Amino acid sequence: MPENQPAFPAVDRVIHEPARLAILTVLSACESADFTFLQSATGLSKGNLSVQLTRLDEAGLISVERVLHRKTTRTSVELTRRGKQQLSDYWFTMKKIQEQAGAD
Amino acid sequence: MHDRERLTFLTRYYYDLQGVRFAPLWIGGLLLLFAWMPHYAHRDHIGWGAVCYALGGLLAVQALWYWVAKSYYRRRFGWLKPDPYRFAKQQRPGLFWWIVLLSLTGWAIYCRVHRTGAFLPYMLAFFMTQPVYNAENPPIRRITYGVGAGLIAASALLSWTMNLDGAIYFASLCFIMLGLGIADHLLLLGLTPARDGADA
Repeated sequence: MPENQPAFPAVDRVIHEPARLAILTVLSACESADFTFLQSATGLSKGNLSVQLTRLDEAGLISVERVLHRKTTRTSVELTRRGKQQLSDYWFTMKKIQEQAGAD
Repeated sequence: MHDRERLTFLTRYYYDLQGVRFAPLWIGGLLLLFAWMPHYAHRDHIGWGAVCYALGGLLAVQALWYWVAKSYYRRRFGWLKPDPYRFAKQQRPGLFWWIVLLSLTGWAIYCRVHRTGAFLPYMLAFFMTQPVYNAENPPIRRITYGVGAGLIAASALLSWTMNLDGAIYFASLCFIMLGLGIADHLLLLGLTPARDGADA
């Protein structure tokens, strides 16, 4: 790394993607939310939301549960303990980067 | 409003923004008031039976509407389980909240000493317009509720100073609460973006 370039802390690439960050922000403000609410809040299409949820589930940041409700399957999504911790760390890192950039 | 703030506010206050759930209560209140006023002006006697039927009908319509509105919101915007600790996470009320509360306490003591019932409408206005004092709300919601609170308090003051009956206060209350409910519903629509058509 060149000497004059500031050494910013590394950010979590899984969380840093805007669509995934929006999903995690919604889930951090509630206990759990269904697929329709996540779609309404984030404005993502069904396919895109589904892909992002799979990615977050694989990373262990969220838990997806499918429950039967009045003959239909409802997808309930919840932030895991690890997800809460990593999201909190992410915002802390972003704040540090912002402070560092402001100081330079 | 920043996107992080928008998402957090929308999720935390989703059920509060479902403003049209109580619309029949306020519309029904106004209709009952307008139906009752000519009888009141002519000093007609209205039996308890008619009053009970009218109120029972209003509550039945409200219950039915509440169920319909709830399923509309669930189908249109989805469902969520609120954070059980959301009240603890809310920002503490500011100085303005304490000034209003202390003024109301002073007013309550005055009303108690002078044996007047004029205190209740102000307290009701204070509790019904709590979003004014909550800094987590977007400015537009705080201003709307602030204007609503001011109008409710002004109608109560007008009724009290001009020795009018409670009809003006009650009509203002119903109109304003209906308006605030519609405003909340519009805010909910504004906070939910149009769904992205293209799949990634």
